Amino acid sequence: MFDVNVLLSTLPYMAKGMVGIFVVTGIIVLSVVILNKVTSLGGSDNEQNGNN
Amino acid sequence: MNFINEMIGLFSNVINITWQQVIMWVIGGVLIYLAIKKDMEPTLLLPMGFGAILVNLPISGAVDRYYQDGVWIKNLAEGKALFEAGTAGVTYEPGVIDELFNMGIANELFPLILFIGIGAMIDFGPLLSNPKLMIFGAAAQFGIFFTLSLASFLGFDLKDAASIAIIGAADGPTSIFVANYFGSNYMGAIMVAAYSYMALVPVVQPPVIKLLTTKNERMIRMPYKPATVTKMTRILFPIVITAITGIFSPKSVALIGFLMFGNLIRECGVLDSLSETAQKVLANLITIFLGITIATKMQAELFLTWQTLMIIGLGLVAFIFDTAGGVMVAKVINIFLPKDKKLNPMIGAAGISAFPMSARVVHKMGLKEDNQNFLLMHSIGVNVSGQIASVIAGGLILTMIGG
Repeated sequence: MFDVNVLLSTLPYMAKGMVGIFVVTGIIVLSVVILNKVTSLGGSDNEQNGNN
Repeated sequence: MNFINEMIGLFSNVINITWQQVIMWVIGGVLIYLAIKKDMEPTLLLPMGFGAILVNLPISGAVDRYYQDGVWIKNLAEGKALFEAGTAGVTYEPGVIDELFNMGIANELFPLILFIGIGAMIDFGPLLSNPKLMIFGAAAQFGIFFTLSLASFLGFDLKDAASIAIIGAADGPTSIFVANYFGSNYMGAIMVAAYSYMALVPVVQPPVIKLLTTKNERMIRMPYKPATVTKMTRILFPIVITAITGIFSPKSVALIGFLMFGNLIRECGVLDSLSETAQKVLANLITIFLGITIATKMQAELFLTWQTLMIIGLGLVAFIFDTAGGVMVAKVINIFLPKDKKLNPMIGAAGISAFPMSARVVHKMGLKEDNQNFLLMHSIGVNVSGQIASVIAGGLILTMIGG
């Protein structure tokens, strides 16, 4: 119990986890931006505001 | 005399009642009280509360029981070990709650099916309109990873620490999925903590937000100018998200896939009847069984431990640091934004995935500081991002620690 070495050994998980989640999120954001651009080129059929 | 002895035998189970079981009845009663009187996540806390009483009756026929030469073995773990070792004279009677657990949770079926319903309920429009908001959904998962380290420091082994940390996902099905994947014995405590804190978001988040923001920051106005979102985008979004998450976080693909399948049913426009069924009947049906099934992990022997108290405390830590993560990232981004484009850092707190309570909390806090400051649509956008991000975080934990 209260083992500082264990705490230190888990810090890489924290770093990898946070970097991982920001990277995946970044890719999703980029994909949505591209998706919005591409689909808006196709005309205004069935367009809606952000909220419905 | 024979008649009296038979009558005594008939009621002999009374002597099997233990003080630990009585405590669990009280805990079950408290959960039922909170569900009914305080409206705290009643759909889950009420079945769990009732289930806690049901499984803690002496020789409860609702859960698995082990006998040695016809005598009930009080210690569940001991009985199971003796039975599995093939000890002579040890017999086993299955209980319906444990059967439900094996059929619906041990194989991760219930949380996944529930995700179809949740996906069908969520409108990702505010997020699609302003996808940058997703960054806060990611930031507000910090509590998960912080709690993972803290739980390990407090003596939990890595897999249990990961199961506890996922309370910070503020998302019941994800918590069940991850805790079950790691075979955590603390599932009962984890579920009670996860659903209790989700219900307590309006109590937990405001002090943390206030502590980390100034009044001027809380008064920052953010005009809502929704961009146009085409129907094609809405339809392609769940497919694209499933593919991306599946590639980068393969162990979360079942969770995100079922969530997005539900959303596709909602957005495709040709399955309104299925969408309605998923949102209401399907989600309700699974919810009924989910709460009462989890209760099998609330048997006194498994639940009344110091670790349960620690898990309740760690769950609070996870929610606090989730909130702090979202707010602090918004503050950091503000450093680089021009004065007229500043973000209200409170919206970062909505990245915790407790939907829609967290968004409402932020909106109400904004109105409290300035009655013309309407943050709801921004905070809803961040909140639904948190739903996706929490699943991704769960998948990353599974990938990193599940091996």
